Amino acid sequence: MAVLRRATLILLVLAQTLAGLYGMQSVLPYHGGNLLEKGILFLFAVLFAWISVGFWTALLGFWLRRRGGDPWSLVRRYDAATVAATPLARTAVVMPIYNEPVDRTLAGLRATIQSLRDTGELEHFDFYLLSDSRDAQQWLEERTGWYRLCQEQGLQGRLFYRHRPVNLNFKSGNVADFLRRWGKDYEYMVVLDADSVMGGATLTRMVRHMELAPKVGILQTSPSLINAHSAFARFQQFANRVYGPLFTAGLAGIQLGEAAYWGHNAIIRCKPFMEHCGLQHLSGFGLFRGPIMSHDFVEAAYMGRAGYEVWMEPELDESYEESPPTLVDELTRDRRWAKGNLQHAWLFLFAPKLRFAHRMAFLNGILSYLSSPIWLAFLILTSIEATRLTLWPIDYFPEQQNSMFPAWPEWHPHWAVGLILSTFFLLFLPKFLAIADVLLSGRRRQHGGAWRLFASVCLELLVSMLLAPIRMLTHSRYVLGALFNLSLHWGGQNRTDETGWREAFVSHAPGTLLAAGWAGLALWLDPFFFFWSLPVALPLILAAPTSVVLSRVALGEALRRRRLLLTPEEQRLSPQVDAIADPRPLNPGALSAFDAAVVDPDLNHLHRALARRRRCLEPEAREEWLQRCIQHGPEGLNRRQLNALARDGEALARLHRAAWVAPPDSYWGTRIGLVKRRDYG
Amino acid sequence: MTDNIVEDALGRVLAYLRLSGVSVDTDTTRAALRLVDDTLEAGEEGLLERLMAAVPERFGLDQPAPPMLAPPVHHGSIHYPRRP
Repeated sequence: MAVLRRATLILLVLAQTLAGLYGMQSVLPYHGGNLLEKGILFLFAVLFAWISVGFWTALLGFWLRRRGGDPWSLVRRYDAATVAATPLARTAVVMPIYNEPVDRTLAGLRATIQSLRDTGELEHFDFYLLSDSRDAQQWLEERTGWYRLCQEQGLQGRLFYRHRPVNLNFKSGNVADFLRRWGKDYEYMVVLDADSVMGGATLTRMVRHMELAPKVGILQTSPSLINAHSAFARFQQFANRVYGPLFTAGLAGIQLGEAAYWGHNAIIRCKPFMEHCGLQHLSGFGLFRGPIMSHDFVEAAYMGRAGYEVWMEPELDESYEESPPTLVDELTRDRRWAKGNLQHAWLFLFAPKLRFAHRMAFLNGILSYLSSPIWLAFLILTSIEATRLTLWPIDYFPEQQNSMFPAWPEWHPHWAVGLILSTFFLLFLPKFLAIADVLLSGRRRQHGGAWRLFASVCLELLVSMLLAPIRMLTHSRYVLGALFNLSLHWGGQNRTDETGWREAFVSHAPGTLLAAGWAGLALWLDPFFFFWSLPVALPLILAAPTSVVLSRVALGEALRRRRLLLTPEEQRLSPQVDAIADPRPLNPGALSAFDAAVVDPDLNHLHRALARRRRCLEPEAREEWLQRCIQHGPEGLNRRQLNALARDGEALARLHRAAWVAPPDSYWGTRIGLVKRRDYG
Repeated sequence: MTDNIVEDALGRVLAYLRLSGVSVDTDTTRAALRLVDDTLEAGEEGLLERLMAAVPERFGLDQPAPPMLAPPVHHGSIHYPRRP
C-alpha cells in the first residue's frame, strides 16, 4: 500500500509540475529561450513541485479522514479489546530541559502524571527531568521544583532529576546520557519536550501498541498546540487544529511504517534505539562536520535501517505542545532547525542503506528551509527579467538561438494571472477542504460555529500571507548563514514575553529596506510589475508592526472574546490543558532560587544533601567567593563562581548560618526579612 | 534598641521554625519566647548567633532525607553506526 500511495503521489506531483512548467514557459516573454528564463523555469519547477506535494498530501488526508481513518494505520491493526487487555511494560517518561520556565515545564509534567494516575496505571511509569541548564539560578530552581513535585505527588523514588555536568551534543546527547545510565531498566521511553503534555490514556495505549507490535521502534503522536495567548500563537494554534489534521493524516498515509520522529511526544523502544540510533558526528566539511543538531529525523532513519517500523499516528489524541508566543521566537527557533535540517543533506546523500522514505523525509525537511532562498532567487531572477525587458533593447537574435528568424518577445498578462490563480488554488484549497472537514465531521461548534470558523480562516489566510515573505527572507538568511557555517547559539525558547518596537524594527530593518527598494524599483520600471511585487514587498515593509502587533496577548485575548480562532481546548478545557493554563508555582516567588537555597532551611538541607561529595575548588578562591557572597549576596559573583558555591554543600551550610544572623539591613538580612512574612512560601 | 533586636530575633526563630515545617502555634511561640529569653541571659552580644545555633536542638528539627535524585546506574552502551 505504501508503494502504491507514494508512486501515485510522485506521478501526480510530476504531472502537475509539468503542467505548471508549461504554463510558466508560456508566460515568459522568450518562453525559456535564454539562460535567465531557463533559470526562472528551473526555480519555478522546484517551488511548484514543493507546493504540489503539500496539496496532494492534504487531499489524501481529507480523503482518509472522510473514510473515517486510515485502515492501514498501526492503531487500526488491533481491536480495542485486544489493546486494553495487553499488559503494560516499564516505561520511563523523560523530559530533557534547558533553561526553560520551571513552573510551566513542571506543570505540564504534573498534568501528565495526574492523568496517568487517573488511569490507575501510574506504577508502570517512572519520570526523569534531564537538565542541561548551566546557570545556578536555573538548575537550583529546577531541583527545588522537582523536590516540591515529588512531595506533592508522593513520587519519591519514581520522579528523578538529572543535571548533566557537561552538555555534549545538545538534546540528543542528554537523552543518550539517560539511556547509558538507565536505558537498560526500561522497555520504552516516552520523550517529552519542556512544553509537552500528554494524557494518561494515550500513554498507556501507546505502550500497549508497542507491546503488541514488537517490530515498531518509534510511535509518534501528532501534538496539538495549546495554551496560546498572544495573537501570533493563537493563529498558529488555530491553523494547527484546523488544517493540521488533514496534513498529518495525509503524511501518515504516505509514510505508514516509515514515518519520521519529531523529537518529542513519542514512545521509543529503548533496546533497538540504543543499539542502532547512536549519532556519530558528521565527517564532511563546514556545516556537514560535527555533531548532528536535528537528531530526530536521523534517529527515525536509523531505526528504519535496523528493520524497525516508525509510525506517526494522528489518531492518538491528548498529545499537546505550545507554539512560540511571537514571530521573533519562532524565527529564533527556526535558526536552529534550518541549520539542523540542512545538515541532513549529508546523510541524504551519503548515509548507507537508509530507506527511500526516510531519505525523502530528509529532503522534505531540507526543502522546508531551502525553498525560501529558492523563492528569493526566483523573485530576483524575475526582477532582472522585468528590468531587462524595460531598460534594455530587445534581443531579437539571442545567442542561444541559432535561427535566421528573430525571437519576438511575447507577453501575456492574462496567462500570468491564470498561473498565479492556479498557484493560489494549490496553496489555499487545502485550507478550504479543512473547513469542509470540520463541518462534515460535526466539529463546527469547537471552532465557534460555521461563520466564525470561516471568518477565522480568512483572518488566518491574511496573516499567513503577511508572514510568508518575512519567513522567506529570514529563512534565506539562515540557510546562507548555515551554508557558510556561521556559529550558532543553542538556547531555550522564550515562552512568555511580547516583542518590543525597538527589537522588531532592528530585527526586520534589513528586510524592510530591501523590500522598499525593490518596490520602488518596480514602480519606476513598470506599474504592472509594481503591483506584482506588492504581495511580497508590502508584508516585508510592514514586518516590524506585524511582528509587534501579533505578539500582543491583549489582541489574542480580544480575538478569543469575539470567539475567533477558537480551538476545542479553548472551549472545553481538558484536565491537562487546565493544569498548564495557570501553573501553580513550585518555587517561593519572593526569593531567587539561589537565595532560597541559602535561606530556606528545608531547601538548604536539600541542596546540601545533593551537593557534590568532592569539592573541586581551590580553597583560597572558594573562601574569597564565599566571603563576597556572605557580605554582598550572589550579585557580585559570576556564573562560574555561583555554580561552584551552589554545588558545594559546605559552602551552602556556611551561607545558611551566616544569612540567619546577618544584620537586618544587610543583603541577607533583607532576605530574612522577606521570609519572616507569613505569606512567604 | 533592645526591643528591636529581641523582636527581630523572635521573628527569625518563628520564621525558621515555620520554614522547617514546624506548626507555629501558641505552644511553639511560647517555646520560642523562652529560647530568646534564655539566650538573652548571656547578654545581647552575639545574640543572633547563639540563638540560631540553638534552634535546631531545642526544637528537635530533624531534616528528612531528600528524595532519591536518581536511581542506581545500570550502565548500558549506545552503539554508533559507521560515520557517514
